[in-house]
Amino acid sequence: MPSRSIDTPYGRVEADPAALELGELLVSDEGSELEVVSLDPLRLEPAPEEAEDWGE
Amino acid sequence: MTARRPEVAIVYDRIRPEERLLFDAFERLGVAAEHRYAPHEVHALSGERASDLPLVTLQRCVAQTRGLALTRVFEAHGVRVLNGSVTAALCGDKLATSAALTSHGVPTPRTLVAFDHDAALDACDTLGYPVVLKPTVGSWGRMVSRLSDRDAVEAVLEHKRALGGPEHGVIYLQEHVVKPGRDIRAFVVGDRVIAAIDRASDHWITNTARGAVASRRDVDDAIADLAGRAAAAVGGGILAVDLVESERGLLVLEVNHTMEFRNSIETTGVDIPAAIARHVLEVLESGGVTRPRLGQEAAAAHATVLRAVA
Repeated sequence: MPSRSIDTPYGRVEADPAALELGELLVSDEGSELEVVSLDPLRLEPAPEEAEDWGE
Repeated sequence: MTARRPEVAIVYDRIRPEERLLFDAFERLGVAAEHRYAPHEVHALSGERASDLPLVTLQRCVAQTRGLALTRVFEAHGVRVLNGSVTAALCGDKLATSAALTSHGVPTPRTLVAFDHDAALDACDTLGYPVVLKPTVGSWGRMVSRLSDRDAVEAVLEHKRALGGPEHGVIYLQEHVVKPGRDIRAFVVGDRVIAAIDRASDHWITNTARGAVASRRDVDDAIADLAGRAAAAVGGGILAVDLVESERGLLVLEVNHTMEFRNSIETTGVDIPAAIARHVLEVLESGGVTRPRLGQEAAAAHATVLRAVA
């Protein structure tokens, strides 16, 4: 399925909803980094900022 | 109808290039690895046995606390997790890593740990300046400080005291090793050191997350031996061992248990995600050894492999 525009409160993203996975990161046309937190219904939330215990 | 228990899963909390590469690697091997999004996981820890958990799981959470917690939960349900909770706990805490390395005779930069302001200042005087102060938890060179003199140390200790929290009461100090403008990262998968890179930078922190440039490095005997011993000391698994060349020879800086490798595949010519996926399948086929190997046993296994390779 081709990409389509998805409107979010944080801007618009281009993505193929059928190909998205939980935890995937997308950048909106407003520059917000968004994370896929639900697939059905599709929900994008601002990606969490780097925390102290993040790492390799 | 009862759903078939999945054999392999990758548990993650965000899809970085590494997770995408791992998904693809399993797919290329014809394995339908289940993708499990860690923030949505809920499990009982009161005797009920989960029936939907995989036999083997590759743990890829970027949030280390969550990753370790989930690993412990999965292990409680009999899942073989790579890397296991022992390895993750040791690698996720620099003090614990140092303790494991030193107890197994693995050379590291000279390291002192202090628990109050005055003792820390004395420790810095002992190590000499500049001295390196690191948080025990953290990655990507975050909050690591190279302090040029006693005044600078006092200022940082004052900040740590003001920040509060038990983690700031443990002061982890290391000698400053003068690097030749680079350090070395060795990638360990199971009992093999599969690849290595140099990480070069004008900055004293030579981390690719901080802009260091990666180039291929041959895995010679010294790198294979030391990286293998470091990996064994923390229980083995899928690890990135950071080494530094010093006047005393190679030293181990740290061991990373959720390694990033996006910049190292083309650089080394080694398909690192494929090697990881194959290792996960080997563990699955071996029946999923549930007991992590530590210390002498792991070192002996590594030595056996080295002899076999030679």
